[in-house]
Amino acid sequence: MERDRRVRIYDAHSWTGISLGLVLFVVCFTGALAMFHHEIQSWEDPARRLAAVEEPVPAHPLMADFMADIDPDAITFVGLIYPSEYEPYYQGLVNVRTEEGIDFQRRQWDPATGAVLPERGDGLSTWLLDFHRDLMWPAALGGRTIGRGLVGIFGIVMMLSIITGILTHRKILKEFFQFRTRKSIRVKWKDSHNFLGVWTLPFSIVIAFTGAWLGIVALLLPATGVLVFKGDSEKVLEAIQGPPVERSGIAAVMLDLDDMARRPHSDSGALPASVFINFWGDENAEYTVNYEPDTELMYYEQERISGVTGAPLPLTGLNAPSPETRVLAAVTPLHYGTYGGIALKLLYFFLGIGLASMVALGNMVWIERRANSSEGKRSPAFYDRLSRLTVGVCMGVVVASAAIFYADAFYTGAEDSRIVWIGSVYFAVWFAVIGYAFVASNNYRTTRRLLGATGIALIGLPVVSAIQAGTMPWQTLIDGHAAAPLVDAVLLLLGVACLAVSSRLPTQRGPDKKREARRERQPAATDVPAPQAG
Amino acid sequence: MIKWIIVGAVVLFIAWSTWRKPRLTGTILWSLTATVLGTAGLLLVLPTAFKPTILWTSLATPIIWALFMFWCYWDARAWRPATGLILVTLLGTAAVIVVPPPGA
Repeated sequence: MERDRRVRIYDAHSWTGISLGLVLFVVCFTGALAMFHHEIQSWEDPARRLAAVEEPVPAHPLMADFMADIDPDAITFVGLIYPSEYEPYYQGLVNVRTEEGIDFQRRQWDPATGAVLPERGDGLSTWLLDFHRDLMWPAALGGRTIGRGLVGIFGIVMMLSIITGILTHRKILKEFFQFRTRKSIRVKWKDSHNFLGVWTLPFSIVIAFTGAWLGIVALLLPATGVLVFKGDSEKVLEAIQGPPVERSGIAAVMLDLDDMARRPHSDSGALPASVFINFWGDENAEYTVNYEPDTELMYYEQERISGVTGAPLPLTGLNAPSPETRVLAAVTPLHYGTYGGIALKLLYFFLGIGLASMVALGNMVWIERRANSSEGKRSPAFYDRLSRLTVGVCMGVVVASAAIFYADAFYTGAEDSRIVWIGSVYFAVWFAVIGYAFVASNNYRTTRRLLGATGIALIGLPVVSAIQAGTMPWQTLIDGHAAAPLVDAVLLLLGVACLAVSSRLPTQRGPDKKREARRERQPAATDVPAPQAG
Repeated sequence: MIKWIIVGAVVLFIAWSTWRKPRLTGTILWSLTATVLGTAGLLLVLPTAFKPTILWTSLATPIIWALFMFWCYWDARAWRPATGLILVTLLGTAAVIVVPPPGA
């Protein structure tokens, strides 16, 4: 590649990193945690770790009772999730149309007794997942769709950064194994950036593409459709989803939801994980029965039947079997690593942390190169502030993520406000860390101290979990709940890893070996003979 | 009146930024408009069924957008990608205005 082009590509790689590197770090880091959304749900709420039941109480009367007081015409969606390994209880979900919008209602029952489980507000697990998905974008600024779109745009920028990164690094094969630990801090960071970039490359490509698609599809697919149909959004929906089915207005008895639980998939023989219902109590009611796929690249296998007669109905819209819907169905499992069990999730987690670290290291290399050489066009104070901001933002999100585990565990307020509390603690800790990074003596010490503190905090979390649950992790494991002890184990391991890395980090910038060697090679001023006059 | 002044100011700003920094404006703005309007135009022009085509193009959108951005820095001449992207935007807009929607 010609030199000018290489410089331009390198510039593009640099500005994508410097302008959006910190946001990319946040999205990648929170994404690594969001992968354990289900496991953390079990960890955060010991009351949900119910014993598996051989003969559960019937769910149909529970759901009928749940919806008895809701106006059927206002119901837009009904769902029943059957007990599973991670969620060993019935979950009833209802969306009700109100003047303010859609009201989401949820009720959970103990399958052994049918007793309603105490409502627990959205907390830690919801925050970790939704902050990654849509940055918890406030409704006042456009709501979650905007947040999701922004995360999608970051995915596009990440794709651009990957393409330019591949072209910038000409010795990509060498970088597979190059890790010069005895060189200067800049070389070490550069090698780490390149090493992580090369080793996580296939993962980065998959994550950037699927993340970009999941983010922007909610904005751009309707926008494109509306352009094609000259502003008629209903026609767009009809063209994709098929003609809408209406409520008949004739009351009918629904198929028993407990019979549904025993209805095997026509091909795989798997039992249903959940049932989604349209037009509950109406003659036109439809059941969409969702089955767990067997480690395939899709979330669910589905069958659609009449909710009154049980007659099979064809799958329509995005659920209709076709090559394009099959590919679309693979996007979410590919992004969240749900297709290969817990081992794959752990691999995704470590690759995600590697990806986030690579982004942060790229920024630090860029700053270091400009702050300590003639390449920088700005004042040293500017690079110092940029460096502190990078450390503050990156370490802040790490410390804040650990802090909200404690915030959720010790929360005693109203369940409706749990998520507000979690968000408040998250941002308070994050901003406090950014502030600390700006007032601390140097970035090396800041990183070392904050990583050490995070390590101690993480090691303390299994203890908090055991006290809260009143049982030891191994007892929980014996009782058949693997998710919470797994989270405990991962937290413990991460805590130890943070402490180990922190203890090896330098407390200040080391001498520039190359510059010192150059200085040593130069003769001292006194040794230089004075120029002879004439 | 105020609305038109704002629209005029935005148009002038886009024109000025395209003139001053064609690569950067191409990457930030024209790559997006070219992706959205180019895709919409393709959907109208292609003689294929609407549903599979929009789903496939939605899958291709992140790749097309990223490649358009990349083109802005790949090409030696700063003006070529910017002109190309503006042209794709205009062609897509023309198709959206002129071609009737599917099933009409």
